Amino acid sequence: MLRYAVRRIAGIVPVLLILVTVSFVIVRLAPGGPFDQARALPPRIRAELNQLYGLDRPLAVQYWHYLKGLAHGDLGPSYKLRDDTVAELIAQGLPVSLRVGLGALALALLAGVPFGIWAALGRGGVADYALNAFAALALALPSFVTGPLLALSFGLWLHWLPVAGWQPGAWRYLILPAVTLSLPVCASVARLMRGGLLDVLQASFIRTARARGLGRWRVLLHHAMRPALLPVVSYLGPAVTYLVTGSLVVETVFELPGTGRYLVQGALDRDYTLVMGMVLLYGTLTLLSNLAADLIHAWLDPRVRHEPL
Amino acid sequence: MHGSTRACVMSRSDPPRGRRGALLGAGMIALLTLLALFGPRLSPYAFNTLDWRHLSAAPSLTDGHWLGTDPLGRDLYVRTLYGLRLSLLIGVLATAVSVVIGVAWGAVAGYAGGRVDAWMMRLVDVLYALPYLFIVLILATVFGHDSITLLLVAIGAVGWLTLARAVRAQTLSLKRREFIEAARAAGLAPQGILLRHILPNLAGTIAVYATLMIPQMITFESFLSFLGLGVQEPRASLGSLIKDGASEMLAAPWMLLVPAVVLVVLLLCFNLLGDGLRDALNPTAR
Amino acid sequence: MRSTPPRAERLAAAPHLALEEGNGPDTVLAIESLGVDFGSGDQRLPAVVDVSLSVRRGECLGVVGESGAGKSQTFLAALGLLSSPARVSGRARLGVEDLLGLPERELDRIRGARVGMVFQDPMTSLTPHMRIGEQVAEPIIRHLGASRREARGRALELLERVRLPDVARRMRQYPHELSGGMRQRVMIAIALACEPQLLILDEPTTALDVTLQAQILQLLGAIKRESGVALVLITHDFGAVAGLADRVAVMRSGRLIELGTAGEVMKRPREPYTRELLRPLSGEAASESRAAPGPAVLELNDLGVRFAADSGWGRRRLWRALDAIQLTLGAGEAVGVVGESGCGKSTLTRAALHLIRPAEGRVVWMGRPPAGLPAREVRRLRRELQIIFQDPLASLDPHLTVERIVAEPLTIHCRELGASERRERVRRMLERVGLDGPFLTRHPHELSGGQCQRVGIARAMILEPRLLVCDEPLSALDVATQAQVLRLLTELKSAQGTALLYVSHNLATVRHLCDRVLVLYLGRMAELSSARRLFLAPRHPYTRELLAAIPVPDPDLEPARLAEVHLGEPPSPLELPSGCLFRTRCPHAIAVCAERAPLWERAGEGWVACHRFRELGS
Repeated sequence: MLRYAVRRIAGIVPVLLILVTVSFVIVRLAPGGPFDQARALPPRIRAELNQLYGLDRPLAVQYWHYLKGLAHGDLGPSYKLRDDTVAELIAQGLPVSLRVGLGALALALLAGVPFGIWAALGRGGVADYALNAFAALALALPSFVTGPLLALSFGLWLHWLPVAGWQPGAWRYLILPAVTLSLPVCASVARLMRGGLLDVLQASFIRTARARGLGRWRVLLHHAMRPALLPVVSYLGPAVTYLVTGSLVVETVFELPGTGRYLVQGALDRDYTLVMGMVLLYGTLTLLSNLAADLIHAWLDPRVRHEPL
Repeated sequence: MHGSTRACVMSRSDPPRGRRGALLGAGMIALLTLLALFGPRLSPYAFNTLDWRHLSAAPSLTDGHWLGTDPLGRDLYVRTLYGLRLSLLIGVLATAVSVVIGVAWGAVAGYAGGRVDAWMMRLVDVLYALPYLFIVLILATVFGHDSITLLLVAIGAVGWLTLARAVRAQTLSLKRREFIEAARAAGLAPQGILLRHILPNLAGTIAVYATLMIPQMITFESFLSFLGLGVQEPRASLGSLIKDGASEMLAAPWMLLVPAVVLVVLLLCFNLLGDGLRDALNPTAR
Repeated sequence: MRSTPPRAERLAAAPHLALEEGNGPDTVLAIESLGVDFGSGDQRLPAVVDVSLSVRRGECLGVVGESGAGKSQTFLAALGLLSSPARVSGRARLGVEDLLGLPERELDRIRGARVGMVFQDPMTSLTPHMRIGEQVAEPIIRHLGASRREARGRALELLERVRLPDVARRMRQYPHELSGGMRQRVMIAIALACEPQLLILDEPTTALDVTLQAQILQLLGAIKRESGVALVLITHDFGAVAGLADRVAVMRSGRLIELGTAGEVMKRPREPYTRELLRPLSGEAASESRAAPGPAVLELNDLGVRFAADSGWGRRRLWRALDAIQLTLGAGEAVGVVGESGCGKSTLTRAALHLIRPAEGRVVWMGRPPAGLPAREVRRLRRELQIIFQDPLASLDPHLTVERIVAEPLTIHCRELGASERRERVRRMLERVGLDGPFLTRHPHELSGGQCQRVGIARAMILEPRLLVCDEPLSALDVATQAQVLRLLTELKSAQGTALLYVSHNLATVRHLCDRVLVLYLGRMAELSSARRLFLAPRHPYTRELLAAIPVPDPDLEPARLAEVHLGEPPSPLELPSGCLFRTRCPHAIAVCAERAPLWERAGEGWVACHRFRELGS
């Protein structure tokens, strides 16, 4: 198990390297540079700025310098938001983004798993129909639709919760964004949980467990739950990818000072280091969550541990 | 008397998804497509007509703006249908791109097997591990302005990975099936086996994946447009309309509600159709 | 709602059997006019109709019937374990309680405590993520209120009692780390955990090799003698019942059709159906005097096949699936290939047809080695070599009609044929295998297993090939269908002079059909001999054990035979022993057997690979 984990963690590094390279090339291929837009700068100042940041050197040299910086944990300065380095910008935005994202994930699991179990046990009953309707709707509602709709109803019409904005430590500002973000994830989790449990309950080892007279709850919790959770666990990776993407929308809709806005803004501004920093951040997050999902999978299913990578 | 169906935890039938849902979905999709194609002709306004007398007008039957107007006085009914047309077009074309790449890649990898398969799938794994959405996002920010073609390619390039994996897995399991061995033993050449035995058996899987991919593509396009990275003014897609609506939602809630409802209904119908097809083709899966 | 069918209907169903079952003080389980039907409303499908059975202390009741006869459903219904919704009627008394009236909670107090169950497929019947020790201990803790520690101790004893090798280590392992035979022993240990009054065994040996089957039956016999538990043995195979059962019940389409002592039912069956079930297994004479085989159709020279096996952590080890195979098959000759599962039988069929490439040696078809020929030429030669498969449904492309499936070889090899002529030839071929016109337009999933297999045979035979390779062609079929397909194969061989390479684990059919038999052990040849000689006087100790392991459907002979089986578990193909591969299980192994591998030596008109075959005699 430990060796498996170490191998998998080591496997992340080359993927990150590819990611850095690909995004570096794409960003640089685009026409324009960080000091080309907005107010036209005098050519001399632009040249000086370019020189200051090393943007006049060959691309390969810049790439090499960026990698060297990365190795020391230096993400470079932001070209546009010149008071801060990229690392500082991330440090400001990340706590907000993480809170929303983790809150949404927790909400999705805490609501989705029990809902799925309930629907599976009462197959064809009220819970099952309710799950079906909820999932169909939640999966068809993109976050950029739910977000404004929730803000409209709970904020503008009912005045229960703030429409948008952020005050440090005020959890009320997080509720609507987290709910918006978690709805489709919650629906997927519930559906996968239902399907997984129904499949497992058909399995022959469940019949064996029942034939041993272990009792309904013991069969459910000790024998059925672990394998039934596997589809949900496999979904955790894609779920985090979704949350990360969704956070871009949610942070826009609810005007949260998270990291999401930097990506779009940075790309539009040709703020190379900022974009690269964001891609690295989100890439690492995605990869780590996929890894976590795989490790949990291996822990739940002893057969996986023995398989080669 | 007490339970005759003591069976176990499950009983009775599944919820009536499947066939009825699929038919409903297909019917609605046909209807929406017809509306997108011919609906705008019913209105006296064009999608970029500015009606100065009705700025941010609420839906009304009398002035011809059946679903209201935006702050520039453009007719929302017409604009939404145009947006629907563009969203549908992008969804279908992006899916087509994905399907072509994905099926070719997956079928070849699966059938060739061995080292070819290992390398081809290794590449898919690496691409899969990349947060692809971000790369597309960067692509769209960098190149995407006003280029729907590029948007299409970018979106299509995301989808094929999943399909390639599914097609490969299916091909692999088909290849191990004895009827393929029988065809080989009968002396059928490899291309004959791919065309006559493998592709026809893949058709169902491909249809299901394609149907479920269209709504994802539409969502993704709308998502890009919502962030301001997709379709640009004066053109409109459902995503950009929702974005405009969200900024005006207190003053003119219909601007948000109309395109949002159309988008949700569209996605719902595609999901229904896709799920129905999947249940019909694979009755054991839930 | 449990409904009781109208009394008149019940009496009409099985008048002669209704009252035969006793109610003595020794009766452990008494099932009375039990009925099960699935579905609802108008579409009710009766699975079990008015079955009455009982089993007494220390007695073994065999319940025999083909798949779908309702044997398992009867007992699953009695214990409330049916997997889909059903209506159950009648009574099932365990002691004084009627199980059918009990709520789930009460039943849980009985299942696993007073009644133990063992199911068919040991591969899927254990919870995959729990250790063996935990799973055995679980019912002990639950039903006997033992502490974890006590339960572990008891589990260890139980696993020793079912003769699981290396118990202490196995307790900590997961099910997937055990072989099929070991898992079935674990299942039996779990079922015995709380000293039940009744043990229900649902096809406990069907998924196992004959050699393992004999061991499990042996174990069950010992348990029956020692503990006095009542046994119900559900099986489709009279052979499995003969050594163990005191009484036998025969079921067909949900009804009980015959019930009596094992001797009565198996020696003097009343029902024609019972006779049919017994027939194919009663020893048939080895085929006699045939013309000498014609020119060689297939030659395997020193053939070896290797597979890469992943042994975890990316280390790949080569595993010799076949090694040094030497075989010539003449026109009109039938050669059988036998051995336990994993011995390379199926691999041999694929290698002979050049569907997998050999690592060593070569294959020669009618004097021409396909390895040296261009791909197009190899495909052309394939028309002379055809194959029929083990799983008849899987071997037919699901989206094609029967006509197109059977016509495929024609479309490949006889392009000049017109559509109408092709259809005519397909029709004639289908008629020969006993399928008529309407079948042409059907799809495989609309056919029964036997019909699918006939379509497969029709496809293989339509080009009148010189060699027909049969990979376990009967194992997926019911007994009655088996006999038909066997007749068809015999006829093809004698009428057309087709050579047959016939792979099977069913030695009775090999004896019936084949002229010579090749015995494989872990991919090596153990013995090659004429069928008659092999079955009468086997030379290799492995052949002897294999033959001894075949169950005999005769209650007088079977118990004695069971007592003589001593084959242990086969070694892992990745960790082969030195010298003679069979020595770890051979009762006659001596020092030399561990030192070097035996030579492939001529013995009479046959061949054998054993150091001691001369001294052991025959």
